[in-house]
Amino acid sequence: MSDYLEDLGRQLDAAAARRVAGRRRLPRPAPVAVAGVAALAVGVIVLTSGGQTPERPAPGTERPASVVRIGVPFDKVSPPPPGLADVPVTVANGTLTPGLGATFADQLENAGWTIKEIVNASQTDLAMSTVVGEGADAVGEALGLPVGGRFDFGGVNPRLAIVLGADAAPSAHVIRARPGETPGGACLELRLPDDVPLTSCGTAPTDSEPLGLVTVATLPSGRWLVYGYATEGTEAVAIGRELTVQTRVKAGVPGRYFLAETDPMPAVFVGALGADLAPLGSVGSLEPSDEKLTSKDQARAAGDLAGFAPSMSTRDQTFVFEGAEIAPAEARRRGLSCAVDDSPVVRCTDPPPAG
Amino acid sequence: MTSDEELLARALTDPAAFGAFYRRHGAAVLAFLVRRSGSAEAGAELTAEVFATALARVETYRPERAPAIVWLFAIARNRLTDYHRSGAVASRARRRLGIARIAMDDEALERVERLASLDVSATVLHDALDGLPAEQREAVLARVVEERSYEEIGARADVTTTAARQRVSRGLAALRHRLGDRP
Repeated sequence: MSDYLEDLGRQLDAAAARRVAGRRRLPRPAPVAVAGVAALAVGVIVLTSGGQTPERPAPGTERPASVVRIGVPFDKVSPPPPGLADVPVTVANGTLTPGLGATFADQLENAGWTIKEIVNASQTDLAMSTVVGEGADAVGEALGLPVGGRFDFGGVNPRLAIVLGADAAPSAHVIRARPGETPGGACLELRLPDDVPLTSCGTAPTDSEPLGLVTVATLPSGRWLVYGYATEGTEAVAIGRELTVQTRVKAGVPGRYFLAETDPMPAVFVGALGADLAPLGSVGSLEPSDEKLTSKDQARAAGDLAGFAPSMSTRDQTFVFEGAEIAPAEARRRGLSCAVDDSPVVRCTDPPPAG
Repeated sequence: MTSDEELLARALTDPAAFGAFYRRHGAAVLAFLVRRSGSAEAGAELTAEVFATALARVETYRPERAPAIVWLFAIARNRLTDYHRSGAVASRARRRLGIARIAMDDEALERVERLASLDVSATVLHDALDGLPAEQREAVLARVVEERSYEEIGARADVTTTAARQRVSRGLAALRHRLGDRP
C-alpha cells in the first residue's frame, strides 16, 4: 500500500533536510563536530607544549563528524568501454560532502555513461570509493575503482552502484611522490583544479616530530588545500578545530600522506593522531599570533600561512623578493618564505636572521 | 496560516518548510501535469521533477517578483513543454537531489488518475495563466522562471524594454487579482 504523493513527500523531506544540513555544514560544521574536534585539538596542544600525558578526547567525541575531502583522479573519468555505455549506473554518496554524487554523476554522464539515479548510502564515512552489484567488476576495471562491499541505500536497491568515498572529491590529488633534498624526506607533486601542478618537499617525519611536510596552498576558489605526510603511526590528522582526515599510503611517501580542503582559517594548525585518535604531535597554532614573525620556522610555530607555503610550483610563476625577480631555487637556498598560490607572481619575504 | 512565500524563505534553513509547501500544492501540480501530459505515469514523474527543481532553486525565488504559486506552476509548465517537445520526462533535478524514482503499480497509477480527475482548487492558477493574453503569459514565465531581464524579454518578443516591463507587471497583476479572489 503506497501513495505516490506521500512517497514523493517523504523523498522531498529527506532531500530538503539534506540541503539544509549541507548548507549548515558548509562553511560551518554542526556544533557537535566542532566540540568533538576542539577536544582533540586541545589534547594535541597539551602533549606538544608541556609534555604531560596527553588528554584523551571525551567519550563520544572520538570520531567527529567532519567534512573529509581527499582527492583521487576522479576528475579524469574515462568513457565507458563498449557494452557498458547503456548499462544504468547508480551513483551513491558515501560521505557527508553535499553534492558529491551529483558532481561525479555529471562527470560520468559527460563521459558517456548512463546514470540511473543518485542516492545516498547509509554509510557516510566511506574512505575509498567502490563499485558494487551486477557487473561491478567491469565498471571497476573501466574506472580504476575497487569492487565490493555491503551497503544500505535506504530502501533503494540499485543493481549496479558506484559508492563514493572521501577520495572522490575532485578538489586536487597527489600525482606522485619523489625523494626530497633531505635524507628520508620526500616531495609531493599535486595537481590542482584546472591542471595547475604544485610541488612541495619536506623532511622525514620522526617519532618526536611526526609531521614531515605540512603545506597549505590557496585554491582558485579561495579555499585552502592542506596536505603533507607523517609517520606510519599517524592514522589521521586534525586540521584546525573542525576537520579530521584519515591518512593514506602512497608509494614514495615516508609513512602516510594526507590531503584535505578547508575554508580559510585564522591560523594553521595540524595535529598528528595515532591509533584511537591519540594525539602524537602538532605544528602551527589554533589562534593567530600578534608576534612579529621573522622566519619561516617562527611563522610555522605561530600558525602563520607563510610558514606553510608550498616549496615550489612547476607552473610558470615569477618569484619576487624585495621587488626583484628571484629564481625559485635561489629563494629556497636562502630560506625565503614564499607564498605560492595560483597567482602568477609569488612574493617571498625575508630569510630568518642568522642564529 | 504561513504564506507560501514565507515557507519558501524558511526552506533555506528549515527542512519542514519545503515539505509543507509541497503538501499544500503537490496534489494540484500532479493533477495539472497528469491532465496536460495525458499520462498518469508521466504526470507523476514530472511532478517529482518539478518539486525537485523548486527545491534546488528555492534560494533564487524572489517573492517580490511573483507569488510562490505562480513560480511553481511556471516551473511545471516549463517541464511540461520540455516533455511535449522531447517525449521524455526530465529527471536531472530529481537525480541531482538524490530523490529516487518512485515505482508505481497499477493500483498507484489508478489512484493518481482518480486524483487528477478531481477538480483540485489550486489548479485555477494554470487556468489563470491560460487566461492571460499569450504575450503577457510568455513575459511572466520568462521573468519569473527563467529570470530574464526586461531587456532580454523585450528583445525576444521584439518590443521595447518598457513594453516588456508592462507585459510582466500587467500579467502578474491579473494573476494576483484572480488568485486573490480565491477563498
